[in-house]
Amino acid sequence: MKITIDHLNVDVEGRKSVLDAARESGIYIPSLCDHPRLVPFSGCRLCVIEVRGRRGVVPACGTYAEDGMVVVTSSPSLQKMRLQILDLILSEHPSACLICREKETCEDHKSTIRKVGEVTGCVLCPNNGRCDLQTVVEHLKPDNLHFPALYRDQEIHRKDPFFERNENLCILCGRCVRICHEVRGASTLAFVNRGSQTVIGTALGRPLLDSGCQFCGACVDVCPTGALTEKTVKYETLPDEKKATICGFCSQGCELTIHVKQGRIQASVPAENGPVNRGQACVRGRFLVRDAVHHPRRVLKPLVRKNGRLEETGWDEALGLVARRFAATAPRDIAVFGSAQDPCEDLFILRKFAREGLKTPNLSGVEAFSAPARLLEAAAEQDIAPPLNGRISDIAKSRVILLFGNCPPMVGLEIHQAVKNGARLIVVGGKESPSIRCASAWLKIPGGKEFDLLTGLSKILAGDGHPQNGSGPKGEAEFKKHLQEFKIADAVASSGLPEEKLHRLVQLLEKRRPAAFLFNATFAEGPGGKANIVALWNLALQNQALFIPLGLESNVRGALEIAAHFRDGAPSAREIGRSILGGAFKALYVCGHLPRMERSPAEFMVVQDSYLGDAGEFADVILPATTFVESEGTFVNMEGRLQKFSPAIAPSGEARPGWRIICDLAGTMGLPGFAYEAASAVFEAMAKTVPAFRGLNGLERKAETFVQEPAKESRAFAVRTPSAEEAAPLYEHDPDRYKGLAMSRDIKSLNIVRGHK
Amino acid sequence: METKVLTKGFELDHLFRIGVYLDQGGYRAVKKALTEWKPEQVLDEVKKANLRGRGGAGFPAGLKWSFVPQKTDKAKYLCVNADEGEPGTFKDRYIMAHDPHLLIEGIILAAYAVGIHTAYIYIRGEYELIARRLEGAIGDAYAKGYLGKNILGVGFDLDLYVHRGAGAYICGEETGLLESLEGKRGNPRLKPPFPASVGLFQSPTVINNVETLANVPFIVLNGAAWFLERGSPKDGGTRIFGVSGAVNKPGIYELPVGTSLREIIFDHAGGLKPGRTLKAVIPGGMSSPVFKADEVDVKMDCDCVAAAGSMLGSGAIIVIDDRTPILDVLSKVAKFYAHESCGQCTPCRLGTSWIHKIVKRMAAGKGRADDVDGLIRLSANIKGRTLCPLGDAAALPVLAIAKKFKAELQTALKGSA
Ligand SMILES: Cc1cc2nc3c(=O)[nH]c(=O)nc-3n(C[C@H](O)[C@H](O)[C@H](O)COP(=O)(O)O)c2cc1C
Ligand code: SF4
Ligand code: SF4
Ligand code: FES
Repeated sequence: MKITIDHLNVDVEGRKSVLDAARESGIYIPSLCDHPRLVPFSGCRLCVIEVRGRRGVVPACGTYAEDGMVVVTSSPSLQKMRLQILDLILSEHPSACLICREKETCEDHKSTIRKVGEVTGCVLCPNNGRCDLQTVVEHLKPDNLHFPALYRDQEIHRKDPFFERNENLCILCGRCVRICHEVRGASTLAFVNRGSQTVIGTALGRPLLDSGCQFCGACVDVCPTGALTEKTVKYETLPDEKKATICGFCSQGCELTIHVKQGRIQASVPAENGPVNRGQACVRGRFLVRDAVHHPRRVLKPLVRKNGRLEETGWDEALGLVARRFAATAPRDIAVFGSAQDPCEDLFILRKFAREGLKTPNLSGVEAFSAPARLLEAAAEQDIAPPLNGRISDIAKSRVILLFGNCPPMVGLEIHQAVKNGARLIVVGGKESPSIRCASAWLKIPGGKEFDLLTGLSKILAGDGHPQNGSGPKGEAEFKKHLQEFKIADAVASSGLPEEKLHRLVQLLEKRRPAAFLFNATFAEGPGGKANIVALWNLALQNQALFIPLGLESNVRGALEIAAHFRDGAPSAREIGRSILGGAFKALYVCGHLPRMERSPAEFMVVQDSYLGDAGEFADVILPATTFVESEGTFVNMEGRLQKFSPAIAPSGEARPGWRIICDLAGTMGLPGFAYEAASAVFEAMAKTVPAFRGLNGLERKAETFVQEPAKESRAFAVRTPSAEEAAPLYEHDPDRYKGLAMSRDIKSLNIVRGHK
Repeated sequence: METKVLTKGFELDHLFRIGVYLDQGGYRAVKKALTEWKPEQVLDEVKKANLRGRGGAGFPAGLKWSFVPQKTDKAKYLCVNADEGEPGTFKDRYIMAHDPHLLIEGIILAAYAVGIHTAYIYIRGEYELIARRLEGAIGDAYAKGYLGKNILGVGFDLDLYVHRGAGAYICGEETGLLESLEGKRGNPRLKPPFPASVGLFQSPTVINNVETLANVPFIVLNGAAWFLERGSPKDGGTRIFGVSGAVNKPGIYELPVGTSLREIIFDHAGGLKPGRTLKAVIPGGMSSPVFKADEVDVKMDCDCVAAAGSMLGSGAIIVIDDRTPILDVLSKVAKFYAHESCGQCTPCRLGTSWIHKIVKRMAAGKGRADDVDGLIRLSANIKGRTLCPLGDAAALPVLAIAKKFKAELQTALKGSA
């Protein structure tokens, strides 16, 4: 459709506010309460415009473009109106600096006055220089303020972790309230009182810690003023530069903007147009990158155990020692345990080194104990090929969602969106989490008992109808035969749900399509895990549901693809993992986190990590690796999305990227084939050999690149009996762990959040 | 001609009991409409009757109903506005307390006309006893089959609930009411979309005042022509005027729409107390701009009062005599709106608050020379720029008082200086 904005003809696609349409065509309309992700609020009234044929003025943010609409956004009378409105806003906002005659020279004299308790003007405000209100003032240029400035004199809320709330600076645009409610589903912040007494607060004025706050910082990021500010940034001036990266804390791969100040991280903020996160993040990505990267537990120099104690040393000595010990150990006595939080380049080089350099088949890694790994295992046994590149954004389109266990936060946001659009969420198992709040039901079925429930649902869903020959997916007849033999009573007994409830669940599935089934490692691990997966897969097939295994670590998917390529006749990664813990090997090279052990698992253990973690207790050598913020590389997120990142800051201490450490070690050992110059060269090599990456270009960050999936017919029921399995899961995944750093233990603020009940 | 229609039965004891109500011929309109008329006929008759909203805006009820889409896969709702929050207004309470079944009958007819199966009465929190009485009446209506499933066996269903407010003027504004009814903070909504298309629970919704709906049974029984005869051609029927202030006989007066304001004050409400003269009248609830003593020869129908520069609003007439300083009136007005602004939009939240601050300082004898002009400027800056009509409701009376009584206010300022 076409509209006219100030004599400019503008093409508008889809449902769009006049404000958005103007923004896109480069026309600035002063606005404070509007935010692209939020439902219009039209409270500040700065965006008033005239629309031909309508009486008076209307807000541009809450007026939707209609074909042929003619609007005026700027005229003397509109500017005057805006000035009068701004005048009112500034009457309750510390505005001394805005009309101060010494504004220009102030910059030179204010070096320390920033550290005051109360903000009385812009130069003392943490938001100075990044403030939407300042932008509006600069545009409207009031020459005088007609009201005396009133200081609200509200107590500043400082007790919660991460950020402060200063209602004295608040202009009541409600962006924080709306993002918290509309996008995060937390509804922690709300308007309290009314009229001029209105403030932003929590229920009964309780701390955020008691009010369901996710500490995602979304409110801080949308606040146009300094009312909500991150504590650590409060006393700092603007960052020197901003760099993009991909968060390395979990499998979703949120894009973050790292604010760098004097070579250190000042803050990490979710990127507005990050393809996965669209301006959102979780507490880890938003508030912990700085603390994690600059953590006192970082290993800054190689450490070597001497007389029982780890001592700092140079790279040459450390690598020399490792090279000598590995050379003196028989290949079959060496095992390698990879991380799923390292970039593809590191993972590729590690496995190449193990197979081609050390010539050992003993490879394992964290990824082997993930939900997608279990799915792949089950799929191989059943000869099915489940799709792995399910999109997170498709979850929001579902009308019913079955979630087994907990989900990562961005997935949680999509679920919340779906529920807002009318979907029903059923959570099975898992711990208390934000998603529980929007669930229609939380079935606390004993872990490992999901199989009977799911098969029961399948049976009811299938009805009594006999399979029609040839029409359904492969294996349908056999599957139905299984179902006929299955007794609903077993589902009732093991789930503890009455039969009637099972029928209601099936009705939900039948009535509401599309469905999405999501499951995490807890559902997939343990003796019943594979059977669970098989049963859920079959139900998904019956119901044409989106089927998504929820990996946890940032590069689980990349690690699985790379590991599969190097598998070639080697024993299973899960067995090797168990053997490592059982002390079956003489020498170990460990990158990924191993569960806590009682005694050293090997005679000689090398740990490549960024932190001195639990594994340090028994390590003979620790090689300091960079974190994702300091390195170049690629992650493959849970959707199969290939995301490249570049270093935002220089490596801490003498830390080196993982791939380089191994290449250096290989060089020290005199092994050929590891002379890579850069991460990009490693990626190129990988793209030539690892099937999933074939033909991909890791260097260019194209908008959407996905690793390839096996192009196999995936519509087949799983009808074979899953193979017998280990008793207990190897360990419980901790979403708050980054390499050797247990953030919920080692970072105080997160400790407070997680420990708070 | 007998002018009392709505209030006719008020003298009867226990009219609120369904037995008494039925003895008086109650629920005849429902029987007639449901068994003899198609829904469209009810709608047409109400349209022809030019029944204007009694809640404040005077919007034609039939027209409002016709905006609701006939075919929709969503539920439709009727919300009865019984918030009665406009200062000076006390008419709906009489209807609900004395004749709750009349309201229920009106609700059934409106619901039948629009194809609605769920209705809510949103009642002012303070009306606790009345709410209980309504609930009792609703229970009786269910028991007699006028509510619930398959009403009168014609296959029409209607459920009716009472919801009590918690004391906010903004919840009388129709969209604030919807938010509140949904269990949220009573902030108004941006319009468009209008409730007729996106209302309660995102569904098409009709919102009508109690008195508006109470007229519907009479229109159905007696026809539009009869109704129009009783009022003005474009504003039919009678209205319950609530007269308060400096008159001898304050109270409610049901009179034909179009009765002159002077007649209401001096004939029906008994005129002013001995020795006092008329100074000003607020004709339609506190939100309506004030009339000076020489402006009271106005016919009380929506269009005439609007033409005279004010509004008929809720028909609440507040009479002010010569002994009342206009600054006192202004203080009340200013305080009320500063207290009741929801706080969502800047001009209203801060504008009403500054108006209140200035008026307070005037009342305390600390006014400044340009304060009256300041009030005029401030209220002009609120007018037409706010999210919901409360802003206008706050600005217009201040503007009118400050302009029409500028001299008196200026004198008050000088007196204090
Ligand atoms: C601030 C404000 C308060 C209002 N309060 C009431 C009220 O208490 N009762 C009422 O019936 N209408 C009230 N209204 C009018 C309603 O918004 C709405 O127009 C009316 O309920 C529609 O019913 P009607 O068309 O039958 O009059 C108020 C309007 C505003 C702007
Ligand atoms: S705290 Fe910030 S975002 Fe929230 S209402 Fe105030 S100014 Fe707006
Ligand atoms: S005009 Fe604005 S602040 Fe006032 S009540 Fe309406 S929305 Fe709230
Ligand atoms: S941006 Fe439109 S009213 Fe605030």
